[in-house]
Amino acid sequence: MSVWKRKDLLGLRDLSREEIAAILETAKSFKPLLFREVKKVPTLKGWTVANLFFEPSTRTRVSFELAEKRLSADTVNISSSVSSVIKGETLLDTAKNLRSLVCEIIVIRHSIAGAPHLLAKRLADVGVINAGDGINEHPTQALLDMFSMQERFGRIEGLRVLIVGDILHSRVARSNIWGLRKMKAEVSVCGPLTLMPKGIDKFARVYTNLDEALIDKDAVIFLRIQRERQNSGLFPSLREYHRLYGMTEERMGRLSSKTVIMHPGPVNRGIEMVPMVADGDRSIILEQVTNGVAVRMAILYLISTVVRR
Amino acid sequence: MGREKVLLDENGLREVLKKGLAVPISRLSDLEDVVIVGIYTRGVYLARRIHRYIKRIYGLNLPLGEIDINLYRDDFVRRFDFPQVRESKIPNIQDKVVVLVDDVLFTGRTVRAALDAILDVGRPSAIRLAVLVSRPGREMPICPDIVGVDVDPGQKRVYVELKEVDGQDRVVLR
Repeated sequence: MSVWKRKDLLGLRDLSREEIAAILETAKSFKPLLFREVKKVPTLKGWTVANLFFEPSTRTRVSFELAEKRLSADTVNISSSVSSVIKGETLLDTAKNLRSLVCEIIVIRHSIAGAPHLLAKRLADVGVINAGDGINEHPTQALLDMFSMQERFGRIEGLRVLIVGDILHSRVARSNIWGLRKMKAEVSVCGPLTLMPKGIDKFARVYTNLDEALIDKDAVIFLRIQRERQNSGLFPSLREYHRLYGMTEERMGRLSSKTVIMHPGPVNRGIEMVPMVADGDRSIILEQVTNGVAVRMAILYLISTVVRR
Repeated sequence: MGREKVLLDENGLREVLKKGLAVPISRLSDLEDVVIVGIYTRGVYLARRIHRYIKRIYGLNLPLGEIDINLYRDDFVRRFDFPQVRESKIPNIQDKVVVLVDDVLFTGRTVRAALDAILDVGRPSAIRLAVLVSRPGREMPICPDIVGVDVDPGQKRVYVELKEVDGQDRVVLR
């Protein structure tokens, strides 16, 4: 009875609770590999994985690349600034060329929501992993967040998770809300109303006051504020944002002792949180980074078992 | 079920495990350096039983490990419906004698994968292979050091059933 039957991971909205649990369980067995002297297993020897990044990314791309290398796959990295995308090649043409070069799995990040879904549909024999599509989803980030919570608390069910920041433009928030709800966590969000998607109150409890929101939470995920949004008129200034929604020493003092602080990175120090919070003993931001490799290995592995058939 | 043949019943299995595996392992000249490592799934339970026996009879608490070879297989998808990966727990094997324990030795591919997995975590001074049942059909140049029972089941397959996973102890051909 195989739980995993998908050749693609496009988003957590589509996944069942059992499928999410299978990924987290597999990631747990992969994690000790990261600390061995030989950090490699031969599972994907002879496989080629293409990392297609049409949006700048360092952390996610490096995490995927390490996960692929730990599984012994060969990797090719294509980023929009250096590829023929700037010469006008379409997404599908790029993908078809990759297939002709015989890549079995494509990891894609794209600024347009649905780009990975298009590839997955058109390339029937290639596994596609969404590494972030527009403001839609960033499933691997949410999975590593859930993995980190499970590792910390021993469970996800019943955890009270708060997501703070620009919920409207955040694919990390969307994927986390889909995933956490399926795993039966209690999700709430906090931020300026101008940065809340319409209808969010059907999926999560909504706060506009951070001090109220922080009461009795197990995990708090701070989202990265994109500085370019400062000029969009959705919030007055970064300084005011920090005063209302930033994590400060003073707010830390009022947290319950078990609450952990999370961030998908990179942190804008002094905006989402002060350095003392990011570097403090309640922050599991760097554990999230390590766990990202184990979770991505698990996803690559599960997908490979289907693509191989 | 009519064509099923019981090779070992509960008592038979206990005897073979003791006299055929545990005793020969305990007579290895370098017993003090032995690390017992079971291969998932049933090899792990056999290894635990052997470990318990040696502890009871000789008072020796040998290091015990378990190894999942799914990531090292050359055929994992064809053989398993759910290629679940379990965490391998391998104690320090540097310069030790690793005794690999499995239920049935058939093609030798599982053992081949286990050898790779062991060598990725250290350099033992030797690796020995102990199996409950050995049957013909090797596809690799692999030979067991300690064998409980040798059997040629012909067209049938060998099934080792253990209380821990199957609810009863026996070996059947079917």
